[in-house]
Amino acid sequence: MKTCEDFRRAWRTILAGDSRPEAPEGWEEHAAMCAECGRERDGLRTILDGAEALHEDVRKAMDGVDWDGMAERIADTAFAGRRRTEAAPARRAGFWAALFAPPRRFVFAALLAGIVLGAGTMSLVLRPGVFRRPAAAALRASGEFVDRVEFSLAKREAIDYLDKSQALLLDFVQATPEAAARSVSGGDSSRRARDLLAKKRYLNRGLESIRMAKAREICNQIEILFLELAQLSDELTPREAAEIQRFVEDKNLLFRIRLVRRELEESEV
Amino acid sequence: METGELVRRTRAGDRQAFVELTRLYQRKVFVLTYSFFRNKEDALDLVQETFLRVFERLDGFDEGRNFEAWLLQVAKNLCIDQYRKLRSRGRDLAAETRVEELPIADERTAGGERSVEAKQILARCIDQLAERQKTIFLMRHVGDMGNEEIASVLKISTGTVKSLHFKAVRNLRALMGPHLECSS
Repeated sequence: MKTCEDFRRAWRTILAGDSRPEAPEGWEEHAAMCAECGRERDGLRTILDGAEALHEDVRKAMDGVDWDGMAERIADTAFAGRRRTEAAPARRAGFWAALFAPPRRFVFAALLAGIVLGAGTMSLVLRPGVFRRPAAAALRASGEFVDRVEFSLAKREAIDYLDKSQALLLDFVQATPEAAARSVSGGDSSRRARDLLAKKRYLNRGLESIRMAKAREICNQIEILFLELAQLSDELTPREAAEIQRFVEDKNLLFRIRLVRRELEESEV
Repeated sequence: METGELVRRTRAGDRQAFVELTRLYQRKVFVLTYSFFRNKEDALDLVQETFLRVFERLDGFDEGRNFEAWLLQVAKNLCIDQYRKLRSRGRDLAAETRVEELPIADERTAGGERSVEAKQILARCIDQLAERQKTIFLMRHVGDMGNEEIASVLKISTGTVKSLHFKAVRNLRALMGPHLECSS
């Protein structure tokens, strides 16, 4: 008696194409008793019968075809195609030969040379570094680095401004009131004060930083003083000069300038 | 005259040799092309296309190879190309009726009609198989080719042919399953 396993093995053998569905013995008996294997057998048989029917269709379709005539037609088409293929290169060769005949050949050669020369020149002209300056490489820096650089520059400018201011004030304070008035009226102190006022305008932006607060305050006071000196240059009397000298001393401007300057020098960037 | 000699003479430009070569194999090519399209005109066009293609490439054919296998391989490739074209154009290869609508389980249908409908359903299900499974099933059952012959045409091992055929039938069984159960 065949088992379901035998049945499945036989089924696999048939599907592998090694035997026909009728081959296994005892198949029908087993399929009659086992419903599942019976369904498998019916399904397989339907597929194989359907395939057999398709095979029959092919045989019917082959009837009535003029096979001899068809072979002749295929051969005609094939050899006609070969003749066309063989003729085509000759025509193409003729065309190219005519196109590059000696009178035209020189024209084409000149055109080609012009194109090559033009392309070479353009490439030379447009190449960076030959006639064009190469584009500068973009600088990239962090915001923190830029802040530090700006502060450092502002500090240096402020120290320079304070040095020059200190020198001017020392010259002014250490002179007698008459000599101080003369130096302003004569133009030397007045010119130096105007220069420092111009420098202060340039310095203003750098002094906005919170770390430059002390420097900003002292520079603003000095600026007012220099503004007076510049405005009074033509009519400064010895008495007025003495008042300015007292103002400088009362406010300890020179001392404060020194302190701020030292702080700026010692501050880390 | 043997195939090798016909091939040599065709290469040399002998038209009659090519006619003989075509006569010798055109029916076999037709079986393959018809099994793909189940349409006589399409199948005949593909037979002609196959022999023209073979003629074009005959100069590059290695005489040590099996000519028949090479010829059927060309035919099979053309069939697959054509099949893809038709599929992309949305042309249905079988009947317009959907497989689910075919009345295989109709008890009123007479026996003869019933086998015709089963064939239609099978044809529709074959079209749904993967390309290689479909080719192998058709070559084996409709083209009446053996496993070795199929293997040489498709350039795969006999074991692969068996395995793909097994998968093809199993998938057909699954695709036709509802209809088979209803009819039983």
